[in-house]
Amino acid sequence: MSKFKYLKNLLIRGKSHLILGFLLVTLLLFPLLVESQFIIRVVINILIYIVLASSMNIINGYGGMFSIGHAGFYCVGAYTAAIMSTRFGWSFWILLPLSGVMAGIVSFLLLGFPALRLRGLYFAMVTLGFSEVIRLIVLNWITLTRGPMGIPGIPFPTFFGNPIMYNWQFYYIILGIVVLMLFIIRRVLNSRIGRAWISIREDETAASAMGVEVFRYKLMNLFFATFWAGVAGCFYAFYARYISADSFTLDEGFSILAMVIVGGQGSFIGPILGPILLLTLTEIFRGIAQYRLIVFGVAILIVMHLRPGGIASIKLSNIQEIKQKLSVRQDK
Amino acid sequence: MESTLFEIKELCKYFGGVKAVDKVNIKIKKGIIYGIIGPNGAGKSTLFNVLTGQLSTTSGDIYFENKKITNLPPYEIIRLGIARTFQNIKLFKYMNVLGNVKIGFHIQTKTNFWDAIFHTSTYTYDERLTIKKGLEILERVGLADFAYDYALNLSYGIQRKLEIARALAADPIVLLLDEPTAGMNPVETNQIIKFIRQLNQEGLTIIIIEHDMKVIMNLCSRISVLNEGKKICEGIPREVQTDKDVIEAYLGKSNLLKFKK
Amino acid sequence: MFYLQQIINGIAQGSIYALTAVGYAIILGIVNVPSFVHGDVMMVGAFVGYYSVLLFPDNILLVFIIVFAANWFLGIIVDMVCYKRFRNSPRQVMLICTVGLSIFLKSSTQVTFGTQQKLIPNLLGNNFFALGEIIRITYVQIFIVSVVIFTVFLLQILLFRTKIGLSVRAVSMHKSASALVGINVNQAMEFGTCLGCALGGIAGILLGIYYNAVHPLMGGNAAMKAFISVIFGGINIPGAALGGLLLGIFENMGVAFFGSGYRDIVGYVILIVVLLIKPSGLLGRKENEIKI
Repeated sequence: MSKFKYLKNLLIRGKSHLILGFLLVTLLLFPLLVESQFIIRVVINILIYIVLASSMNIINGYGGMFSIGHAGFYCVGAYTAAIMSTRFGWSFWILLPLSGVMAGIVSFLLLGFPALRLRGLYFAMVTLGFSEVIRLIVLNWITLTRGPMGIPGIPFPTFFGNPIMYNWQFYYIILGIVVLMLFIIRRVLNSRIGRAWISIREDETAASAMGVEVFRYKLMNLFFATFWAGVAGCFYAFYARYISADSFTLDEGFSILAMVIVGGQGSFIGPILGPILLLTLTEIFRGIAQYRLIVFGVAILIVMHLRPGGIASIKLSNIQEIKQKLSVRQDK
Repeated sequence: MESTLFEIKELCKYFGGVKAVDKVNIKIKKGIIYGIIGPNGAGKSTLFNVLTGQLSTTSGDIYFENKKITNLPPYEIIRLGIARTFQNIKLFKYMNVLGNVKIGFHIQTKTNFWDAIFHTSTYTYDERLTIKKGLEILERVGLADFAYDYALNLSYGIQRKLEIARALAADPIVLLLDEPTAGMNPVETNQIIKFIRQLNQEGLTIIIIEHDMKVIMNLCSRISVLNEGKKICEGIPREVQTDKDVIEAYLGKSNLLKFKK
Repeated sequence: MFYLQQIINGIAQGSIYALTAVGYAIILGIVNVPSFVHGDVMMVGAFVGYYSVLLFPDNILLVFIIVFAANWFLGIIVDMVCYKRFRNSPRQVMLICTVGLSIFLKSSTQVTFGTQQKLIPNLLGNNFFALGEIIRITYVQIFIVSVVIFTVFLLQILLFRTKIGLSVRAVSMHKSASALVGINVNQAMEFGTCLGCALGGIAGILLGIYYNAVHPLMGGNAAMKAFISVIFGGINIPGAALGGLLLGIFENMGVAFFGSGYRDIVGYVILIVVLLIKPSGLLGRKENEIKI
């Protein structure tokens, strides 16, 4: 590489590091700079959905499967945390990974074994069925989950004996979870496992012919992905302090899917951009939940028709294309 | 004395009433280039698919190095040293060329979740190996310049070469090529012929399905001819060329008679 | 004797499931595209039927014609939005579009018509045939079964004795070969989609009549039943019909033994069992199983 290219590379990398650094600093100082509790709660919400969208993206974007039933995994995580904390006093910090593991195990057993041989639509429908079955179990197994009454009074998490009760504290926790999750996901994707997953996504037959044990890797993918959904569920339970089956309807799964698609399925930043865009949009146009879903439905259709790769697939060249088109129009 | 590498015994694959492969018996010796030809729909690709585990057998057995491998799944077949390419190119389109080859090293590496997350020595070793050996294979095949291009954007001839490169990454004992020169121009075809011959000289046994008679007659020391699922002839090229049944099966294709070595 | 009654109920309910499944099977099996939106298509049919009944309470035939036509038109929209552009794209793109459309239809119906269910007046009254002391066959049940039989009969004629039916079947077997013999593939697939949606509409209004109510979210449940029926019976018309019928019977038997809360569980159990044992369904064919 010529010296010039080397310097240019350094500058580009330096620039992106600068941007990243700036972003990190903003995120760290954010709650100290902002007065409004409302905005902090919105950002916390966005961060929760970043976890959920990344979780679904692992399955849909890297696992060669298509799942719509994410509400179920989220639900298992939340209820595990709620039940273990209200009844047995388990600590938030232990429950975070535990809820994840629980969600992973449940999906492994109920979804993994029966359904993994299915493709496309059929697998998607089964995930839907799974999500509904979880919700029905939660509603009907009253001795375990208090059924439709939900579980109130989830305690505050404690940090070295001090209760965590302010929004800004929850903010730092979820921020930490997001950063840790993205770090882990990135490392896994850039390894033999990630490559095996992408090969399965691209062409299962060829992947298998090259030695990838497709069934096993799909199971791993499912477990890894649903783990994070369970973690998100645990955080949500402690943050909201009350959960019920109403928060885990199919609409949740649809919303998360919309965020994944709009952000860009199969990309790393897609599940970050999607929630940011869609949730900010819906906060600006605060309305009934149904309006939110209309927007999500239309957004999915628009993305599929215009740019199936989502926001993440818009590169610099596309922006230049658009600029050119606009300038031509003005000339006329 | 060359040993028998593959033995296919009374192999049958039926799809309901359709007998795609019907009681086929073939013995393939180690170290040769073996050809499988036949008119369209004769069952050649189906035979490959059964050999490498993509399809299950209806009846019959397959032996590799004298061990029974009937109905093993594809990811175990490749671990035995049997690699293949496909008739319609099955590359990983949204990966770059190097990435496609890296998959071939899946069976030679063992990074698990723990290794990946904590970047253990296993991880670094595996990553170094896949990159180093991947680039080596690309050099060997002549695709080193394309290492970071997306497989989606490559020309047809290069895509075919990449598929072979990917199969080579698994360090196989035998390579099954399904119509490797389909859609290539004469120049590219000659390159592939040279390349396959070279691979064979380096010790790789090759089984090749082809329609291009020039390729088959140039490369293969033994040929089986399939027609409607049955093996109708087997022998050295000259025998096959002049066999009555073969000519009948290819009725209308005078290429077979006109071919000169 | 109680169980015989349940079987009769099961047949009536099963025939509706059969109709929902047949429409779904046409789209999944014949047109060979994924669809997540069939449930909401049925819901639209039910709503159109509801308003038609309000407008023409005495003319049931007209109501059905309106529903069929409206849903046919909906089929054109579904094809345009989800399938037409993507005939040569990966299947997942079509699937995602149908999910988006489904979300849109559900929410816009809720926003426009409210989230409460709307009650359909009992068109045929509560009359029934009585056999012995315990068995009752209501007029509504007879009506539903007749409509379904009649529809499937018409379908057979349409698919096997008309030119367009032949085109649709040809395209379903081999797209490029059909194109080569001069069949307009796009038109045939659009026709198939419209047919599936129109049948879905009829199924939707029948569901409304059977349960006396329509509701913006009824599509989800209906689609799941259709899906289970198709998996159970096989992704073809006779299979779907059989699967639907059996699902109806098993569900009602299950309710008889375990109570009404367990109705939906029967379906899920059947689904899991079929997937584990014979994923191609009762009347399905095991096509080229590429093992992985």
